[in-house]
Amino acid sequence: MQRYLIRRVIALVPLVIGVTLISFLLMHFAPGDPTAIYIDPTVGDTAEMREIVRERLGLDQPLPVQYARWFGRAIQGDLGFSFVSHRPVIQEIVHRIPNTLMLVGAAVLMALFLGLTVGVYSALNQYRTSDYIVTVLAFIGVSIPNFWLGLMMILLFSGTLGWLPSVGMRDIMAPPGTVNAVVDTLRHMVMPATVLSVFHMASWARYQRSAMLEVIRQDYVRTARAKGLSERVVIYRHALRNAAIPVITLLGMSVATIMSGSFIVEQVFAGPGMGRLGVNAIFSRDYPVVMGVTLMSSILVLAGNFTADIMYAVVDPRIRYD
Amino acid sequence: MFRAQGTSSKTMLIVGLVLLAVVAVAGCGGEVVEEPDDPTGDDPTEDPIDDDRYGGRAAFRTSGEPPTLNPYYGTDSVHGQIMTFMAERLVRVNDEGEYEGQLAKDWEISDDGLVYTFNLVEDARWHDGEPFTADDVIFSFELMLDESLGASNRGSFLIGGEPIEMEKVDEHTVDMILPEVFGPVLTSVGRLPVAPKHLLEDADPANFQEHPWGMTEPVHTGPFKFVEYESGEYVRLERFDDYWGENAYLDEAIFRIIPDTDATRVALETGQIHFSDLPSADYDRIVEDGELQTFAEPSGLVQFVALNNVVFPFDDVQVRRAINHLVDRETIIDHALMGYGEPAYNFMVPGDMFYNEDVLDRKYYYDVDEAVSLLKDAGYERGDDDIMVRDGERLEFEVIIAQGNRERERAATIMQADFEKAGVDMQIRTMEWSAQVDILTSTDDPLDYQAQIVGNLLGPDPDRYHAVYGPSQYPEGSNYIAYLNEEVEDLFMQGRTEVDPDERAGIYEELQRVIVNDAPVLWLWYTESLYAYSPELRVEDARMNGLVHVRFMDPANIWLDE
Repeated sequence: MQRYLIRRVIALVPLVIGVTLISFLLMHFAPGDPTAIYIDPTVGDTAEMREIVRERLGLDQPLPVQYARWFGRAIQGDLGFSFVSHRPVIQEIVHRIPNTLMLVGAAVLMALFLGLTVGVYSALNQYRTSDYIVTVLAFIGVSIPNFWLGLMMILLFSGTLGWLPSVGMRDIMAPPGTVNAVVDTLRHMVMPATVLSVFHMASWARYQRSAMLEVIRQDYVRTARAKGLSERVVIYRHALRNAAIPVITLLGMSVATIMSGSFIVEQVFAGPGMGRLGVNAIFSRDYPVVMGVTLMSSILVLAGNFTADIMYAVVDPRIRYD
Repeated sequence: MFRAQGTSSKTMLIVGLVLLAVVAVAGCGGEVVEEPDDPTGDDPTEDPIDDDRYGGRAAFRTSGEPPTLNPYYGTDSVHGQIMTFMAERLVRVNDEGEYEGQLAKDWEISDDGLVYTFNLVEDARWHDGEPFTADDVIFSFELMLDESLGASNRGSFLIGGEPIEMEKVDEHTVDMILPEVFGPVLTSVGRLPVAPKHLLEDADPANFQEHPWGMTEPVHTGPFKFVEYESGEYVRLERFDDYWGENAYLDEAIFRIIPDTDATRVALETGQIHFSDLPSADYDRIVEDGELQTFAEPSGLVQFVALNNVVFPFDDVQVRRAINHLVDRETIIDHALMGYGEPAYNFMVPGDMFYNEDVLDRKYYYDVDEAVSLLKDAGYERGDDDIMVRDGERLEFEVIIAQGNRERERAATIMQADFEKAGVDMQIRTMEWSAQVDILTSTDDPLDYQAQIVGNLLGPDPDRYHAVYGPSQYPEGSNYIAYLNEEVEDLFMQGRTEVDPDERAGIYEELQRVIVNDAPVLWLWYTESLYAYSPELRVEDARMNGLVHVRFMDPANIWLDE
């Protein structure tokens, strides 16, 4: 296991290089120039100023040199300074990342818990009305675009009903000491986390349903029933464990889509996470921030996949990594 | 047996995940501050003065982050809006387009127009308590002129390439000495940020952008002082109690960053924010609902189709005039802007100094027949497909518009249909804004485009339009339309060296006549700023205006009626 872990971690290195190199090249070949934001076009000689700025930002160097420089600093933990805010990129990301992790974490937990429960329930009630309802709801859940769902929820729960706040992660208007921070955060998190989880909740429910249906017909389940075990034990100990394996594969693969979904959800709900930092940076061609966000996101996604692989071994003892 | 073991490790895993989530939620939520709570819920710091206008927090929405809080580099509107609450200038141009003293009470100009004597406010203090003096003013000019600092407005403080000089008369009087007469110099002074010498004396100008004064520790003299900036969330300011003028009513002014306009509308309606600007469609819906206060006023921004005057087909003035007549500005305003805008027939904006529509020889009203006859005069004839042709060359061009700008997209579609009526074939191409800026700021000759829709916010001093319409600004400069009329350059230069307002007026009226005759671009419309704000926000005394960088001349006078 230990050797496997070490091998996996080493294998991450070329992956991270590949991902950052591709986004570096894409960014530099896209039209648009970061020096434009530095210059007030109504004052003076823009051509000369642009050259000065290019030099100051290191953009006058050949691309391979620029990438090598960036990478060399990045492995030492130095992601440079934002072209726009002039703050260290690492500081910007560290400031934002807890919000993204909280949103993604809450969404994954919701999707896992509700998706799997509903999937199992649906399988055990196959061809009954409740199963049909779940199937249709899951189909809708998979099809709804999350920005639209977000706006609809804002209009209903914040606008019409006035139950929940629609922007940000906390109440910044209340005088200090008058709000409970945990309750306040939860109130702000409910809608964005739900929106982010709906797609995966629905798709996992569908997978869990079919996985469960398959497992439930296996001989060992029949044997368990024949032994006279209670239905609870048969379902939860024997069937569910085996039905969970394909879903874990999905979980690992979904980390990337959940991360990218958080970019959109943060935009709609004005969530101060890494996604919005990245989106703004792309529009202003803030290369160091784009690179920093790409690096962090790919590390998070790879970590997600890695966790899923480890969970395999936890759920299915037959799987061993040697 | 291994099953039991498996279950326990799985249980552990789930427990672990749940714990992780709880820790994450608790950790990121901040702390509940235990404070001896005033049972009435009133802020204990509330002003003792018996005036119920004092107190309260108001939240103003901004659509994006302030890129910087350093006024030597900030050029965008979010930066400008926050700065008007926090910082002051010596002189500023007010919402009527007139010069108005701020940190300079008043000023005298010598007879030769070369020496300006500013009398400074005497009891102004910086937010850290230090007094504001003539030394700060002189220091601010030095910072601005320092080449290694690279301030974005530095060019405005060089006259004929020579820097403006400053001289201290006494603690509260300074002389500004010009190398030669420069009419719009007070406009430049209005663009000078005032910086605290005692804090910035030792700052390295080459690394001034990274200085905490422009990020986490802004210190200014305005009615509100900086508290904190949470990136992605808000900028928080609080009342400055030692303000030299009347103290601000609000305890706090918060600038909340919300990108989405639908979420903004709901946030306004539910009191999560008190004030926001909105695009015309959202604004129109709020006007119909009638629950919020609304305000629409010209923003000083003119939208136009920039034409590349040195490439086909716009190297011919007759073609430029003809298509100017093909723009149905009224229809565009009604359909693309929901009626919020004014038609533009001039490069200057109503409200600019010396703006005068009556002096124009031509007004490019919508007239297809006139356009066709102008094109025929220029030698064009209808071809087989009804498109105008001259010497075998079809009258066709491509217009670039920024992706996601719905108003410009709709306007372009309307123009496309009208142009076709006169046999002009216009293709529309959308492009990301930063790619469009790339073309605009390039120094190629000629630039790589035929036409593109852009907006300009240059006034109120007409000299500022020299940047776009002055031939000396091409190709190394910002005359991206390649409009090269030397008469225009002469007039701009005359305007600079004239101090007498009546003489200046005559020069700039002539300039409007010449430029409009040449039709170097297609002026489309004057944008309006559209604000919606909650019923309890009172702005009657704050001189609210449409200027996108300013919005309130007197933010100290905003109060909440709760």
